[in-house]
Amino acid sequence: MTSVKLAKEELERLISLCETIAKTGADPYSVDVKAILAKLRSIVERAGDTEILTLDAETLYRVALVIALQHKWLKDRASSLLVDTQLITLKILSADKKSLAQALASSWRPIVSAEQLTRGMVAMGLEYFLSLPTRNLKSPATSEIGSEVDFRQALNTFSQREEIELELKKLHSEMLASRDENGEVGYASFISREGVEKTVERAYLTAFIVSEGLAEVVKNPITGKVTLKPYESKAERRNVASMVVVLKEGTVLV
Amino acid sequence: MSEPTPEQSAARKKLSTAMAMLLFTSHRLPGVRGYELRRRLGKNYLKVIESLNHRLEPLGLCVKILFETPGDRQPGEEDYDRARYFITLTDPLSLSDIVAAGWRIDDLAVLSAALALLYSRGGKAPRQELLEMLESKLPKWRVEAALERFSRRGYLVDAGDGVLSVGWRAVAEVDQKELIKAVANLSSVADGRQEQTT
Repeated sequence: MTSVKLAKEELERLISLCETIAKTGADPYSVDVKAILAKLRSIVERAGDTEILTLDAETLYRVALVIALQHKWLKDRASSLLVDTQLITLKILSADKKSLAQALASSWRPIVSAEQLTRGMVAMGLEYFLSLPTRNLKSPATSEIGSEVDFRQALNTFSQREEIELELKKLHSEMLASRDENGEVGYASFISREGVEKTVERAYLTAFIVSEGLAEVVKNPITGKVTLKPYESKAERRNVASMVVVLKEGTVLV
Repeated sequence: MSEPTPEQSAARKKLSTAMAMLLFTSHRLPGVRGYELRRRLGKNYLKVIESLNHRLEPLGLCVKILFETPGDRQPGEEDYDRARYFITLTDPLSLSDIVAAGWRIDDLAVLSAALALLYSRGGKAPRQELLEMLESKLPKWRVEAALERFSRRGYLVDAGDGVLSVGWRAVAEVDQKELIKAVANLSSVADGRQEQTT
């Protein structure tokens, strides 16, 4: 009885060892296949229990998988793709973040896909939604459900894009007109020009103008003063960075 | 200009249908399966894809086919039907373009290191080992958050058994050979400093 238990434990241990090799991608040659097969032979010769025989067959299958992995491992080693894991690990550990990112960028060709809804698609969805028969909901929440007019208004928000573009043009012209002799405009004074209630809106629109490349934000590292440098047309960027602007009770804290 | 023949109109319609199918994310994942293309474009869908590829080439785009079971043998009709088709860029973007598109350098470094290590290990490695290596460069919370995000996006696969493997998206987007070559050619930070002082 004890020998059956021991054999069972031994087989389970061998199965687990083979499984670990397959899962972790460790060197499959670290397993001594010959020794395992010898063990299996001795177990199967002594076994009279069905459970042991089943486990023995399972172990043999796992060993076959390890041999298949050994074949693949050898093939990979022989191919030109082989690079020593230790070398790669050392390179990763010694490189800086930007170099690593650059390495990925040079080998990365992202998938191009469209995940955004178009105005036409929303209109189509709205038409479908409005064509659905109304269900007889008699709960107090019924009155809160938006009417057709509300939905139409929501759809019209897309046309605000043109209004925003007009605002951006206006603000850009204002920025160009306010330039000093160095071609710069004080950031804080510019966004708070129309009072506290308009500061956030102007800062938001200014961010768009900067993102578009029609202006540049320059921060003096010594004085901390932030200025805007507007351009007549889109300028080529040398490098890209983001900046956080904090507004506290109408005051700009850059 | 003469009126297009019905055949030309039909071919143009098929091209635009193929383009729309490849670009729009109809399910959770981008791209489309071969059998879906066959259903919409007919049995000669591979010719339509080839023609679309020629038209996309001058725009810096190409159609990429990702087979379910990559192997050395020549893919058969069934393999093409089960494969996933995407549109990808032909040439890599510059690092500043990627950053401008909203990616963080830290996240890119995590993905680069993770993929390089996984490729050098034949496609999988223990998660803990990868975490320990990356923690020497970045805070643990940032590494864990990045790995989680990349698993969700399909760049990595975390089966939950403590082992990370290369995901479908990395296979589709990242050139394994080029990445390994670029990482192997990286000069260390210390080397860089030494070069600057000499």
